[in-house]
Amino acid sequence: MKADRIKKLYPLLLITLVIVIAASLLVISESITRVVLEARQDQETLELLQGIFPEANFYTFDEDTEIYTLYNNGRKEIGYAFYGSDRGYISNIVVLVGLEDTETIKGIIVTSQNETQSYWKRLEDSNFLEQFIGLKIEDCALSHPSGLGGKVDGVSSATYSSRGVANAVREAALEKIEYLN
Amino acid sequence: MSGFTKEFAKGLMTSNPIFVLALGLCPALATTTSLENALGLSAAVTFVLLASNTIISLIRNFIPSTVRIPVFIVIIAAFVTIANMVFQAYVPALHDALGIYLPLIVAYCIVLGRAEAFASRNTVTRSIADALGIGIGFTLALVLISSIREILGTGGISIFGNDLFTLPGLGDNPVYIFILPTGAFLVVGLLLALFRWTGVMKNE
Repeated sequence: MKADRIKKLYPLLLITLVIVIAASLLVISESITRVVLEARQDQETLELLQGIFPEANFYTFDEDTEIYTLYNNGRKEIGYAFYGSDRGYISNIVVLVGLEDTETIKGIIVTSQNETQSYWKRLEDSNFLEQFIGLKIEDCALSHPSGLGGKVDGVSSATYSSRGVANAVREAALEKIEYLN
Repeated sequence: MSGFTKEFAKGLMTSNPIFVLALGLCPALATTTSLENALGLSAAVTFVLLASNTIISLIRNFIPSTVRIPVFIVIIAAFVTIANMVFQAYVPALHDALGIYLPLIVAYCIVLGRAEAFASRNTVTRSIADALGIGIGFTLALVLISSIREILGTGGISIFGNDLFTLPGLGDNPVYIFILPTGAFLVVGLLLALFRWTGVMKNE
């Protein structure tokens, strides 16, 4: 009786054993390659941050506040960076914002957007993005048409996209400086 | 060792997976846009063939017929996943270029076919010979197809960022169609016809 039951269960036992062994192999190989992958991702993130902070040599990331702290060669703190996003004309615009200190923007990089490309290119080709360099957080809003008292000139015909970028930067900055103070 | 050499040679010529068995045509068409991609994929396929043929042949007497296909697939999928992870970690540019065709190796008929038709019924040594033969036959076929496509379609060959050579005439006016899917079908079809017509690879 017992031999019969084992005989019937044998195919199931075998395939379970094969699956367990295969899964163990995969877990081992994943943990080995993960080390290499993470090292490379860290390097890519550093290169991205260096787009805003050329002197950056090293960074740390706080998991809770999601803020990057940048350091230069002498291990001196040179700024902070974080992501922000807001709706543009037809897509979500994601921006990497760099802060010199808790009041001034060091620079921004748009990392993802799906706006109408002909209008977005107009925005990229203009000096729109450069306006954020050295801008005070409190001035980070469009100057027209809303009259919010901002100092960022939008790109004509790309107002929604311009506003999306400015809002993304301002909102993220206002949120994050709470943590930095 | 004549048994070994015989099985090995079969994979290269008389049972060449692309030009005789006509298995694995999908990756042959899709990944042969450049020699580098073709070599990368062939390396992965050969590794999967070797690893899965060896393991399946080792345990062939313990696999009941009722679960053999699921067992083969789990074993093949494990090795394909390992190959994919290794590529992603150590050659990320090649991994991105191959895209979906790397994980898709699980579904290539050639791998499951050799497991079912050969590895589950033959000794380990012969299964290894078969896997090597089929793998290298696949590699040679893909190298041939991709060299033609890349030379005609871009005017030269470049590997890992280094231009190996550029033909003077074609370099300025490459025939773009060979890089497109149309060109893939043209090249593979014509090569198949050529090998059949000259009887170079006789079908068994």
